Amino acid sequence: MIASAPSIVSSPEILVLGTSALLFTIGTIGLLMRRSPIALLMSIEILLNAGNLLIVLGARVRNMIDGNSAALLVLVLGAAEAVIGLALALAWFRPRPSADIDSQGEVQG
Amino acid sequence: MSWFLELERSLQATAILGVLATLVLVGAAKWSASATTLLGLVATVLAAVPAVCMPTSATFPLLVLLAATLLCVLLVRGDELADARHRAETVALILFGSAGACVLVTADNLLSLLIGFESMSLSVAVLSGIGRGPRALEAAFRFFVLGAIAASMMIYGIGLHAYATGSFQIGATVVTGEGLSTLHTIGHLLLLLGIAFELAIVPLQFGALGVCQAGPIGGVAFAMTVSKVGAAFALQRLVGGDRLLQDVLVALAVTTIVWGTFGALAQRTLRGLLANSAVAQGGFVALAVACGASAHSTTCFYLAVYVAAAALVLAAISGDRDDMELTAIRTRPFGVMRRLALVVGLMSLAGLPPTPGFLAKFLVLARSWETAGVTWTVVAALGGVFGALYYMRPVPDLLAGGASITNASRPTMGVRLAIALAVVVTTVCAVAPHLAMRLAA
Amino acid sequence: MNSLLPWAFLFTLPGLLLTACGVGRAGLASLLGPIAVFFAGALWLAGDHAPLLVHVADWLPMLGDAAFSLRLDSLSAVMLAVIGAVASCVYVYSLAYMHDDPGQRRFFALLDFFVATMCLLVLAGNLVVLILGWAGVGLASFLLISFWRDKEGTLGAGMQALAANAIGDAALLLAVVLLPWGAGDLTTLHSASLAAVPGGVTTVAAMLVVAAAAKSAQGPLYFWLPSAMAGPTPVSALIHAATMVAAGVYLLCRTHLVLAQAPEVLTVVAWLGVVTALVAAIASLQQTNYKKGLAYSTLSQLGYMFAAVGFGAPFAAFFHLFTHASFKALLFLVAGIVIHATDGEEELGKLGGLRQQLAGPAWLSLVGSLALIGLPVLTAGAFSKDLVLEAGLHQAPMLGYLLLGGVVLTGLYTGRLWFAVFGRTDSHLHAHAPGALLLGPVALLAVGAVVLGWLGNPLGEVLTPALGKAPEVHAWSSLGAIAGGLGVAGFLLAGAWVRAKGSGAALPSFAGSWVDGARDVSAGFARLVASVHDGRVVTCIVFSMLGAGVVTLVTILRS
Repeated sequence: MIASAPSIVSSPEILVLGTSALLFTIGTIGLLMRRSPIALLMSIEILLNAGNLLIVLGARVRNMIDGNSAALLVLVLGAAEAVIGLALALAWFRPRPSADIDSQGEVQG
Repeated sequence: MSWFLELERSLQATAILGVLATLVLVGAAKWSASATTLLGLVATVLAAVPAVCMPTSATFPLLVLLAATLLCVLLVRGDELADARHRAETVALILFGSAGACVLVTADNLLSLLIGFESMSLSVAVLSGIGRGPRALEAAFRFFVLGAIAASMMIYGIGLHAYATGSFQIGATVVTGEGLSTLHTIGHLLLLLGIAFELAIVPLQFGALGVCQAGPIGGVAFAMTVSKVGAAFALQRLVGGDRLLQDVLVALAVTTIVWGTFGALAQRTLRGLLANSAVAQGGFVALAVACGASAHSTTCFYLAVYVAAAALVLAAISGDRDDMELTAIRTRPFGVMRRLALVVGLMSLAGLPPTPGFLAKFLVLARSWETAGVTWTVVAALGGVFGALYYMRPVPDLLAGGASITNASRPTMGVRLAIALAVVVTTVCAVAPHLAMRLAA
Repeated sequence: MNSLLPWAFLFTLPGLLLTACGVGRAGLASLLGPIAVFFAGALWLAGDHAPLLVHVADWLPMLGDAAFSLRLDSLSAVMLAVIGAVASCVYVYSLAYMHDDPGQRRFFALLDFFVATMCLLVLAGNLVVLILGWAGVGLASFLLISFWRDKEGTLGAGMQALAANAIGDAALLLAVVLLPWGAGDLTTLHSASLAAVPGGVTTVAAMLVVAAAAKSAQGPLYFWLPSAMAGPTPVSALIHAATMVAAGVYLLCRTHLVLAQAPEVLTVVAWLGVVTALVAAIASLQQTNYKKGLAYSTLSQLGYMFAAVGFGAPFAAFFHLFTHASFKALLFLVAGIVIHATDGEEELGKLGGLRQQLAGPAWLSLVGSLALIGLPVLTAGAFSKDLVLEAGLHQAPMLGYLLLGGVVLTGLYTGRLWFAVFGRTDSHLHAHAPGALLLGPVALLAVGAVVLGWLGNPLGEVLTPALGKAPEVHAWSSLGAIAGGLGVAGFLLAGAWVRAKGSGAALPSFAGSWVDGARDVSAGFARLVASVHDGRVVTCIVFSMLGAGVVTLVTILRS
């Protein structure tokens, strides 16, 4: 390693990186533990934001011109996903007594 | 007009598909079913024009993609949807989705890749969701959740890539810095896993598996063909010559082949068989992709053959609403044409001569041993060859029942067209593979 | 005209189309195909014996030598003649045999498909084309075994054949994949390629042997052939006695120059052949089903051929293949007549005493049985078996003596089958007499079973370019006399056994198959996979996320 190379550990970047990794972990745990479709969608949003945080970090640290617009774009994608996800969840769970994704499904495989 | 001509071929195709998809969607309420289908076909053919007029290396992938789109549009049926009026939406979604796939085929920018991926996977989710019955909805929800997870993996991967390289271009080099190359590798792994979701690679096979079993035929065709074509070429560029990613993809591909083969063994229904075969075929596509750009024409050939075979099978079973038990296949009201289409399609999926599926599998294996090494190739070859067994189970029944069926339902015009198109592709690839390969190269 | 001959595999396709489209009486249009194939072989043999090659370069680009290459030389010409002759007999026979079957058009179309792929197999000029034919005959065999879908167990039997074939296909596929230039001339392969394969020529030779053993049902891969008897009897005669099962021997003869470079593989082949010859002969004595008894006899004779290849005597192997095709097809067709005449009775215990009612078939069957045993001078089988034994005693005396002892077993099982069906007189079965369409082809094959042996020396001369210098074929030798005497002794002994114990006389069976175990294991894996796909959303999410995590972790730790 070249001595003059900037080290991540010594810079404030590590904080942002850590936050993003934490968010990703929280989202993952949420996906693995929660059984409600709404919680699922929230966990997915957290995962998206973890990634988005990284993009913003990259944009700032590496002076990327298109970085911030990319972050906006991901936000829009997240919104689109949420719309479709909520619609599907609503349509699927409406005729059911409870919204629990742990129930036995009909589509094996 | 000049800005349009300056665009890349795939983006021109994307633009055309997108505009016409919007048109279909806007006019959906007023037009008859055949008008929307016709407009869908016109859109697909128009989208192919710029690519054909000025051929580039992306032309053949685009043509395979658009042919797959055409077949999907032909296979859309109103009676499989929750409401027959959703037919126009289905066509529009197929066009939107394949506009996304066009981006995947050529994009070098990770953000473009992400948008292409999202429009494809959201289209599949909705395509399945507007199908008839709760099973289609369940499969749609599952596909959506897993697709969203795959997308968030991709976004995280993009973030890591952007942080490590300062760019959204696929091939960008890593900035000097401690640990950055590891982050970069993790980022690319996440991107690989995310895109592999569309190929139905283990461990992300569930989405496609569900949709193929429960969705309406048009959506199934889309999930089985268009999204695989799009994802394959995106992966090809992502993996490039990166040894590590190649190894990972080879391992995943061979695991997928074996997994799909055993999964199919347990199936009792034709749809279940097809769904698991979609997984195994995804494994073969991934194996071809892992061989890198030098195997480009092999990948193209495999996909072309696969799309034709899948279209034959799906066209043959379209309109058969129940999940067909394999043992009851003899009693189905299939005419001779659909029986033969099913037999040829299954044989091509199985990779048995004289169908081109054999040549395609053979080429992939021949290419793969240089990249994948002997052990993986042996396992893949065994998986592929034994996979043939389960596809062949219904074939004697299909051949035997042909004469005794009197109340055979007549296939629709779209199904007949789809079968004709697929038969032409299959025949050309079987008799003169060198023509197809030269076109690809 | 001559340049058309290598395309002989296309000759049955017009018949296939006509039959499938329903032109004329079912099967009549198809008949032209095998006759044309026979004449293609005969015409070449009558000509100047120059190999005819077809080479469509660059047919499968991206492989080193990926030509579509056909080769008609002495070996393939003789094979074409054999295939054409046996197939013609079987076609004529089937016109009567399948006459009342509702699916007879499908039957003939599938037979046409089989003959086409079989011809492609023997005309292949390189491994790629060979695989096309190789897998094609496997497919045709599967479809024909499973032909009667109303009969119990036909699909399972067909799947077994397909599974065994799959093993062979995989082996061939790997052989091609491992050869860097992919193909190359089939006789020698590509010497530079051979050296570049990991493990060298031994690996390739081993792959070829595995493929051949799968096709010819040798060693542990025997299991599918007895099950294949679930198919119609003409199919058993054509595919599972005369032609397709001999394809393995053909392949080994074709590539004998490659095998000769791997002596250890040749030793394995010799042992494989001898063990199969003996064990299958004993297994034949355990069968209570007429056709299965014959099937094990086929296995045993194929074992003799394999052993001959292992002894480095490909001509002996091929000559035995040549004569065996006539008398084994004959025996199966007679079995078909018996089964047809007794309305589907295949159990030996219920058959018997048919010599009076089916006098013609009984005598024809006797000719075939004696040829199988190898009665010197009078039957063709003696000429070829003699060569095999001679090569064995010369190369590996112990194996040679084992094979010589095996002739007693041959006599025993042949005699048991013949006496059980035709020998006793206390049976009250009623059999209706066969027509001329059934008897004619059988008689023709019987003529072959008598005279083909005398063709040995001219055949050896013709095949010299392909198989090397052939040894002289004797009509009479002391070895042949000993073998013939042993065989006839076994035949008569079996007669006494059947007389004492009745038609159902059989050794107790001890066989359990490793195939069942393999099936259980794969079913277990299938259940495992199915249990992961249990249809719960939670399972999907957990499996996907954990899987992705494991992939990432393993990759990072290993990089």
